[in-house]
Formats: sequence, C-alpha cells, structure tokens
Amino acid sequence: MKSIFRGMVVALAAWLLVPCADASESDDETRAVFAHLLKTHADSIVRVSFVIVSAYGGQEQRQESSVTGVIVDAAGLVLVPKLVVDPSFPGMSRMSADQKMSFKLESRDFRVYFAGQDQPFEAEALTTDADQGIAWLRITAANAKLLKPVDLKQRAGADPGTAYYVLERLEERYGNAPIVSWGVIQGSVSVPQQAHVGTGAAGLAFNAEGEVLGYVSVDFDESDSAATTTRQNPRMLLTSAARLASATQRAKSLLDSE
Amino acid sequence: MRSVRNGLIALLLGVGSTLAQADAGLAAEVAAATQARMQAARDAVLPYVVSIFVVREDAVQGRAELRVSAGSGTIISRDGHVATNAHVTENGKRFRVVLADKRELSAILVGEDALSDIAVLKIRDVPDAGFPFAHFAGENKLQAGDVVMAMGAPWGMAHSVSQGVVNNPERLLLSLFQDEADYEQQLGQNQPTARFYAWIQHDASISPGNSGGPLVSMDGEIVGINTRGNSSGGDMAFAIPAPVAATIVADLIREGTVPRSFFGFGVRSLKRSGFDRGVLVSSVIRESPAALAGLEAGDRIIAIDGEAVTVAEPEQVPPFLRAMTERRIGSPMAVTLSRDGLERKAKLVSTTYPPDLGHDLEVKAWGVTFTELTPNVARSRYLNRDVGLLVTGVLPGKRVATAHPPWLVGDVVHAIDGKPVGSRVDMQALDLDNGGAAPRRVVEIERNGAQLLSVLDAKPVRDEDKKLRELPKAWIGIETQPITATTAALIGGPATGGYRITRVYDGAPAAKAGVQVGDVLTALAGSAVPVSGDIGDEPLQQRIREALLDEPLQLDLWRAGKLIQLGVAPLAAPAPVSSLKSRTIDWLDLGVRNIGFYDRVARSIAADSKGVIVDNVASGGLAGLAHLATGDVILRVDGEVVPDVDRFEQLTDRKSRRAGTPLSFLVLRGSRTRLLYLDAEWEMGR
Repeated sequence: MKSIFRGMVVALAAWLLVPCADASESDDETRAVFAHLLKTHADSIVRVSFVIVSAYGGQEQRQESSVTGVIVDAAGLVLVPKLVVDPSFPGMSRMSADQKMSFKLESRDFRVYFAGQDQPFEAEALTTDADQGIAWLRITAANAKLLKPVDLKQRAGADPGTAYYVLERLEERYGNAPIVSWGVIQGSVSVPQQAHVGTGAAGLAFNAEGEVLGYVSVDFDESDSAATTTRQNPRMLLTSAARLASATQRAKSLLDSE
Repeated sequence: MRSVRNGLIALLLGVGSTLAQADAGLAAEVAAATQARMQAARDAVLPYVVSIFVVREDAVQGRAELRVSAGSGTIISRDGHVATNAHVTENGKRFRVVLADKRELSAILVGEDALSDIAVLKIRDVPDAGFPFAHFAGENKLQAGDVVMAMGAPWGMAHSVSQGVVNNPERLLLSLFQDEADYEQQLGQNQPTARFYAWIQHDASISPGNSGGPLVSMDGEIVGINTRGNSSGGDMAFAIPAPVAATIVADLIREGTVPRSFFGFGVRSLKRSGFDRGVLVSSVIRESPAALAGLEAGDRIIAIDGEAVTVAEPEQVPPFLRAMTERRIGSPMAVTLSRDGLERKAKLVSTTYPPDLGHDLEVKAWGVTFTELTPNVARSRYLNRDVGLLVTGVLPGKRVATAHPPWLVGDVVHAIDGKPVGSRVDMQALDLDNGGAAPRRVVEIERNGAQLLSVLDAKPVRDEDKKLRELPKAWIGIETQPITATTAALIGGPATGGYRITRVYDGAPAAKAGVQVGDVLTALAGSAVPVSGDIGDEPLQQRIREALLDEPLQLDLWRAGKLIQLGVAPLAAPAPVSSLKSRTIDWLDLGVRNIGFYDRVARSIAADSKGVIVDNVASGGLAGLAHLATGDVILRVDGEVVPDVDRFEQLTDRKSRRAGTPLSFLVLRGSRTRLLYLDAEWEMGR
C-alpha cells in the first residue's frame, strides 16, 4: 500500500514537473537567442533623434522625437522607418489640394546616438523606399570605428509561423540600452506586393540565429476610397531580406552619384 | 348746450393739435441740434484718425517671427505725431499709417510707455504746412451717461465710428475676489495700465484694431485713448483718460520716455487690517531705495514729508503709487512709519523707475530667444538675481535644444565662457550668429534656483537644401484602373480581368512602345498580375517598379478582343517632387524648388513653361509678409523670367539688390497669375 502511495506521489510529481521543465527549457532558449542577438548585432543598433516640423495656416510647430536605427553600411547608412524622414499621417493623402498647399510636415535635424558616446553624429536623409516603408540616413561625419553594420548578405527566408526578433535601442533617459522585441509571421500576400504579414515588433527582423529576414514596417491603407471610413487596422508587412539588400545597394549607389 | 360742448371739444382738439405740432417741431429742432453737434464733434477728430500697420517681431518657440498687426491712432501735432497704444507698437520694427485721405505714410517710433499703454509715432515726411490735428481734452469732465464716440479701425476697417455712453469715468479693475497683492503681481506681465491710472469705462463698441484710437466727447475733444475691449465686440470697453494720455504723450515727445521715480516698495490698503490710518507696506524690493532706507514689509506708513496719509480702500492705491512715481527723480522723501507699535522715521531717495520689460533678442544660430531680465520680470518669476537673459523660446533640434543639458524655457543665462551676459549688447558682442570664436561654449544657467553648466556646440546648424529622394525605380509611364473578371465580361475584356490603361504619358516608354488608352494589361514579363478588386492599381505599379531599368519588359495587352504583346524599355521614374533641386533663401525665409514632371501633370503646366515652385514659406518671414504661399509657381522676379532655382537665387540675391526697392513676384496660383510685392521697408533691419 505504501509503495503504491509512493508511486502515485512520484507519478504526480513527475506529471507536475514535466511542463516546468519544458517552460524552463523554453526560457533558456529565449535567453540564449536574446544574448546571441545582442552580442552579434547590438553595436549596429543606434538611436536616431529628429525634429518633426508641421505647419498649417502659417502656424509652425516643432516636435522632437526619436526612433531606433540600424547601421547597414560602413559608409554610414542608417536604416530607419520611412515615416521618420517623410512623416505623414493616416488620411493625409485625402487632403484637398488647398489643404495640401497650406500644410507642411517634414523631418529635419537628424542625429545618431551610438552607445557609449555622449555626443551625437549629425545625419541627413538620403533616400526612401516607399514600397518597403524604409528610408536611409547618411551620417555626415561618422567615426569609422563606430560603424559596425549589419551584414545584409547574412540572410534567410521566412515562412508563416517563423518567429522573428527586432533589436531596439532605448531613449537617452534609459541610457540608450539595447533591448530585443519579437514577433511572428502570420501569413503571406502577393498584393499589393509580395510580402509576409506579421504581428509583433517593427524594424529589421532577424531569426534566432541572427540572420536577416527582412524589414517589418507598418502598412497604412492610404486608398482614396469611401471605404476608408471603415479603415482596417494597419498591417505589419515583412519584405524580404534580398529585396532589402538590393535596395540598400541602390541607396548606397546614390552616394557615388553625389 | 350741446353746441357749446362741441365747440369746447373742437377748441381743445385744436389746442392739442397745436401743442403736438409745437412738440414735434421742438423734437426735430433738438434732434437737428444734436446731430449737428455730433457731426461737429466727429469732424473735429475723425479726419485726423489714422490706421496703423505694424511689422512686428515676436519670439515664437525659439525664433523671431515677423507678422503684420494693426491698430489705430490720432494725429495730435502739426509735426505729425500720432498718439496710440504701447501694445500696438510693441515689438514693432516698421510702422505705416494710413490717413483719412488714404495716403499711406511711413512712421517711426518716438517712444512707448508700457505702464500707461501709451506710445507715440511720428510720420516721417511732414508737408511744409504740417498736418492738421486733433486735441486732447484738458481735464476729465466726463460723467456716467455722457455720450462718446469711439473712432478707429476695428478689424482693420479704417475710419469707423461707434457711439455709446460713459459707464464709469474712473474705473479701476479691482476684483472683489482677488487679493490686492495678486492684482499688483499680475500687472507686471504686460501693459499694466491700471497700476497707476484709472480707465474710462464706456460701451461704444470697440474691437481688435480699435486699440490706440480716440474716444471723443460731444465737444469734439479726445477724452481718452481706447485700450481694451472685448475681442468678440461686446459692450464693455476701456480708454485711458485724456489728461493722463496728454501728459504721457508730451513726455514721450520731449524725452522719448516717461520720467518716473522709483522707491521699490509696494503697498496695500487698510481694508480688513483693523487700522484706520496710514498705508501698509506689502513688499520691499531688494537693494531698492526703500530697502536701503530700512523699510520692511508689514510697516505702516502714516506720514510722508510730515503730512498724514491714509489709503483705506484698494481704489486709493493706484493714485498713491502714481503720486510716488511723479516725485522728482533723486529727491528725498521723509517717511514716518509705524512698526511694532513704535513710530520710526526713514528717508528714501528715489531712483529712476526701471523698465518693466527688457529687450528681446534672438540667436538664430543657436535656435533660442531671450528677454533681458528686469527687476520686475525677476520679481514676477521669483528669481534671485535681476540681471541675466531669460530664455523665452527654444527651437527643437537646434543648438540649445541639444546642449548638455538642453536648455529650457524659463532658464536664465548668466555667463558664456565665463563672461557675464545680461543684455542684448553683451550678446551682440559675442557675435554668436556668425559662429563666434569657440567651437564649444560653456554656459552658466540658473534653473529653479540651481546653478547649472551647459555645454553646447556653437557651430551654426546648416539648413540643408537637399531634398529627400525616393529610390530610383522602373517606370513606363502609364496609369491604369483594375478590371475584375465581372467587369471584363461586360466590356468584352479578357476573361481574367486585368488593368485597363487610362493614361499614357507623352514621351514615356509605354507611349513609345505603342500602348494605348483602353488597352487592358493582363501580364508583365509573362507573369499574370493579380487583380485584387476594383480599387487602385498598386499591384501592377508595384510589379513595374520592381522591374530592371533599361531591360525590355514584355506587356501582355488585350486590345479590341485580341491579345497583343509589346516590349517596353523602362526608365527611372521621373524625380518625385521631394527630390527636385531646391534652394532656401534665408533672408526671405523662403524655400523654392524646380518644377518637376509630376508638378506639370498635376497643374497642367506646359512642358516648356518656366518657373520655380514655392516649397516652404516660414511663418513670420518676409516671404510670408509678401503673401507668397506654399505651392505658388513663381514665374518672374522683378520682371525677369525664372527658369530654375539657380536663377531665382541670383535674382533674389540680397547683396546685389538696390536698397530701398521693392521686390516683385509674378506667381501662378491655381489657374490665375498674381503680382505680389515685398515692401522694401519690411526687409530693412531684418
């Protein structure tokens, strides 16, 4: 009787412990992925501050803001969301011609903050790729030692169900510390463009091995239809790493043509 | 008997009728006399009322902005002096007055006195015969109910007259719900007219633009200068009484300022204090004559120069303070005080009354505006020192906003690289807008009582003219509409649907290849393009953009019930407007860019037409004053054709322009041309 009871206790304990062991293993894996990504790529992640200037009817307002950027080329190219250099808001495309004439919205005064540096580097907007929702800044007088770009050739494909990771660099009040966010690819679309649809973080997406999967951007429906009153939620689109690398090469070629 | 009665009735009716006729005649006579009196009063002043246009420079979020404001005034001397309000001329850089005969003349500022809200301008060019002018009333004889007329330019509508009555000829705006000290504190903010002077309250309608205009009695005299009213119109208005205004105006014309004595103590009435004689000292300013003489807050002054004084009610405070300021500067004043039940004597020697507000200044290269600290400003902000530069605006992204630590509005700058700064002159000596000597500056700042050091990069920030470019991508020059399978069946199109060509741009690759409006495109490079609905052709355009430049791209087109294939050689898409060459003309605060392909399409501008497009007109800049607007196409400058931004820059080069000449712009706005001018005077001093 005693042995039966002991057996039941052991079985119960084993049953209770199994999930705990799985969770712990999963946590360990996540910790390892985060540590690997931070070790491999954190030096490429910078904080970018900028000023948004808006003017309507002659009244001008300026607002300082900041986002995470990624060094993608040793020439000082910094990848940021397109909205950073070309700000807009949902519905802007439906402004009347008169409204557009008297409305101004632009970004300026870009500054790039590297970890451990107390002085920022000035940057300028180089170009944008509206299809991928990305833009490139160029640091005007960069310290070459600080420029540790992500190698876009180290890339991989993605499929629905793939988890992705995005590195961010926090604001100055948090000491510009790097953090890792994540998301998952939910499916694929072929219109309006070839892309994956994801949920989670936006930015340069890596897989667990640190290979580039592509760029996740927020896609607003800017169609001019009456259906916009029933606007759907913005979607997160991941465009492929190959496309990102190709576009970055073309962006870099603009430097040579200057 | 009946006939007698009837006769009496007839007689009474006759008398009544005669009396009524007499009354009517008298009323008409009175009305005519009243009208004649009003007309005479009107004609004694209205011809000398002027509209005033001011180009003013205000600090807004760290930069000095120009704007045009308007007010009213009256010519009060043969030499062309114009009496108006100080809040009309405040921050004014250039002044123009418009006379009753529509002449628009330039004027200069003679002086302004914020404490009374009175200012004087002088018309520059005085005719040999001088100007006819209006007169101030010698004394304030107004009583409640007297009829008055307000004259001026409400909302800029020149030579308007409204009529009302005096509600109270000596109104002091003391709130029943505020402490006296609160009231005095608030007065330090801006044109604290009622600190020393009572106003005339009346109900002749005045609106923004009436400020500085005359209040006129039925005797045809200026009895007041209108200074405050309801912004929405309304029936409550206030004017500065003529005797006060005339004295201040005379001082300003004679000396450019109003001499006032300063003792450095504030007072409050005995109301609720339990005392029945004297006046209470409510505050003593550090290092002021009062402080040097040993006055303390809480003292009760019971006699001045041996004469008993009593200020029993709040309404008596302004006349008391005014009497203090009107003593001769530097003269001694013997004061008998009561403190702790004991009488004391003190002797105060006045100094010159300090200005309420200091000069404003901007350091454009740093993106910051300041105002000089004055004792009053320091006091109202509870600052320890009254010398320094108060930060009034910080432009985001510029030097002071990115200093370490960044500056904030309300900071007080005391020294730069160890050199004390407290005035506009101190800052001008450092020549900061031209970079100065040092690449980095260490600035001593006072913030909430703490003494901070801030380091800033002193290099001027370059305003880039580089425009944002979209990555070059393939383009064949078509616009399309998606056709679903259902629609295609109805119009005899391909069974799968496709993209119907709605426009082919002239000279574009598609046009060269023979693509026509009405063709339905079904595939690109042999790959079908999905139609996701009947809104937008983005899937197709996306595919085109992804094509390789200069490599043939095969189009499958459905035309007249048949499938045809055409080869197109894509080109790089025309430059988006955001990437076109541009220039910023700093002195005009104006950004322009070249005309691009999409501008010509959107505005139906001919391919060979010349011009530049206004990209940006900074608020408060000279271009804005000239009424240039974003989106304008500038066709000519001073009559010269503008082919591109390089030529525009040459034509607007400030150094090569003859001083004092206006700059003209012929612009295309919408479908109409407009001729705009930049007044030569506006740019002077800018």
